[in-house]
Amino acid sequence: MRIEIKKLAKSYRRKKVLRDLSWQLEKGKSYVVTGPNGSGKSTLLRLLSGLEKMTAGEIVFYTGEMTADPITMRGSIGLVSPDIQFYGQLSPLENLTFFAALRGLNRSRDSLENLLTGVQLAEDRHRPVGAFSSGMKQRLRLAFALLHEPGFLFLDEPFTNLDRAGKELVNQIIANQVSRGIVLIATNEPSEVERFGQDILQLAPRSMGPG
Amino acid sequence: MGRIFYNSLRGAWALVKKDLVDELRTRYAITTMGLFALTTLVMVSFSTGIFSLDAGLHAAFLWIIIFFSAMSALARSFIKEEEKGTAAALRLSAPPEIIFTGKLLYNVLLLLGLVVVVLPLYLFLMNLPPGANYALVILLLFSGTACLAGATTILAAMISRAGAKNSLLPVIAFPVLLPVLLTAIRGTSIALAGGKAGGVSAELTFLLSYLLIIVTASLLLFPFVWED
Repeated sequence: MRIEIKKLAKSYRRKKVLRDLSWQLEKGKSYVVTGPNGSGKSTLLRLLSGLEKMTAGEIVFYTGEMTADPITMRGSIGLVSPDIQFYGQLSPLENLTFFAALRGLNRSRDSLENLLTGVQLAEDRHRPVGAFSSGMKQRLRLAFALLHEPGFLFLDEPFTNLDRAGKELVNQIIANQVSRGIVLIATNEPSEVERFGQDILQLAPRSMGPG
Repeated sequence: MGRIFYNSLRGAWALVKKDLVDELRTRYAITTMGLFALTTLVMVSFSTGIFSLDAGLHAAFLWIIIFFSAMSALARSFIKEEEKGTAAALRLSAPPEIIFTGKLLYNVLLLLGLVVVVLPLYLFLMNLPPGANYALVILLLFSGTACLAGATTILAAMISRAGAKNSLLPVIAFPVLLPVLLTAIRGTSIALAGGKAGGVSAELTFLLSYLLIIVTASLLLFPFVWED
């Protein structure tokens, strides 16, 4: 299981966010992408998740004998990102039930409740998500990303808005994911870079490419 | 193969159920469509109450009310996903074809609900000519609204990332739906005048063909609209 990024470039109109980026990620390691605001960390995660299209270059996922692009691999990708929002009128249990059915997963109510217990949302499982705090929404994003037990987990500023218990939870999720597949974290926090960065990609400001 | 088809249907139905639950809790589309239909109906009723209208005028009024009521609500189907930021989670969770099928089925159900409310109200408020073939009227209304839903779903997806989204849909939809509206009005006029099924077979064939073509073309086009 590995990901190869080859000469990746992304521009928004004339603004070059990523240029000539090459990197290889393999199973069993945690990777960190870091850099100042606007350097393209979140863009890289969106490109890897197939939520955006690259301007140039290639991203190839290798799983066993198979190779695939990000859009084809979506079923094996878990993404935690501020881009992911949920239905405010629905409870977290209803949201997860919906997304599980949409993915074609046969998840019992008990297993979804266990997942919510795992992210410490069990007591709030019937409250509308619209009434949730930022930290609770971040926990729900973690549950959403883990719903289909993905081989590839991409975390964009995963500790944002979380209390100490929430941060411990993310640490545990990252540790579990490293043994199961690939985990890539986008962060600006030096302590997180040092803690999780078995391999670090430092993005330079704007269009300068990796440092 | 059967398993993939079953999971796709299950996914599409999950989207329909989610949209129905969301709608029943917010009542945005129901309120918008219902109030628009009611006010238009009352205005038409008061302004034409003293006249005896022929079947053609009744059919035209009925379809104008349905068209604009539908436009006021159907534009929201994709716009709300983009505005609330839930589109990214949808993109990650299912292929575009499942998303389109789910949204299309939801829009069809919403419009059928509109017809179920508007037709009895119209019959109650307006003096319809005697001897109308109501079974045929209902068949034409259902076929026509399915066409409206089919075309509007793909157009709503296309405008969901544009500016001035809500006002854009009726403008873009009108030329696309004009053949449907003209055919549906003609067919409904014949049915309201007491015509038999044989008298509207050309109209029904056109509507069903349009539906088939628009849904097939939309399924082919939607992945590009949704992913870009």
